[in-house]
Amino acid sequence: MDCVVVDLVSYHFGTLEEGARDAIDDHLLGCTACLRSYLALKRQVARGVGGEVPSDAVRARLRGAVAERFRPSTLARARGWMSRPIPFYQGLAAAVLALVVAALLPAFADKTPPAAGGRYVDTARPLAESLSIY
Amino acid sequence: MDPDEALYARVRRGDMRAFDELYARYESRLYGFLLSMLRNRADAEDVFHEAFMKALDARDVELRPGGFRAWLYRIARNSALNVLRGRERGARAITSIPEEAPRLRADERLEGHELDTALAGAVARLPPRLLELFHLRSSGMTYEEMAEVLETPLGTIKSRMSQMVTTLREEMKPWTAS
Repeated sequence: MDCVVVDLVSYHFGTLEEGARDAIDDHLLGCTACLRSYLALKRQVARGVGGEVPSDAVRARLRGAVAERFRPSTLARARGWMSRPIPFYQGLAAAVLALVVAALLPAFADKTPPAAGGRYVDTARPLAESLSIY
Repeated sequence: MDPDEALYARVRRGDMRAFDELYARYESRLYGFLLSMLRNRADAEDVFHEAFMKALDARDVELRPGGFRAWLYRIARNSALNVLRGRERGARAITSIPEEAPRLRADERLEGHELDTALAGAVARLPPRLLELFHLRSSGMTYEEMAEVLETPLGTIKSRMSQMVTTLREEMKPWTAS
């Protein structure tokens, strides 16, 4: 098939008969120039002629309107949050944390400074004095 | 990739990421389609907004698989026709011959960025009814979908497609022929 009769526009828009379409398929496999032209045409059409899009303001306005219109109610959001399954590792981490806290609590309780007649006694001071800090 | 209908359902549940994806799929093509009909950026933007909101806001809609695109375009097209009617020149605009775009020199072989200009010029010279088809087909619609959007019999769509391709082919000859 000669490049002159390669009908890329009809080919792209799918209006060719099967035989003609097959012939162009074969031609494109062997002709780099036509293949390049076809790919360029396809790209331009896919992008939309001119490739124009609405302004960012239009997008922001529409997004705001959609968010406002379809925002889930507080109740629905709370229900969704409550029904969300807690992943196993999060539950495990919470259990380990609870055990650690339970194990450390008595140790902290033992170090509570003793009170004598309502007066605070600094139990660390004699040690500090023996080390000549004071 | 999620189908449009799934994204549509998620947007209606307030999922804005689904909205962003749906918007990205249509911003260029639907807007291009509206701009080609209305030939005015502000009007095209207003109709684009209105069509999206109408589609999302519609109640009791049961979309068949793959049905969202044709439905959105039909809403958009009807809104655009209302604007044209509101301008009191809708009927004339839809049948009038568009402004003449610059033609290519017959001996010109186009490359790279020139293709964009050549194609835009050729498309701009299409009559409005064929221009609609060009945009719908370029957005990947089947003949059946186009018939649904344009509310036109399938046979008429096929015949217009043939006219559209013949016209474009003639316009693009300098580019498609070596």
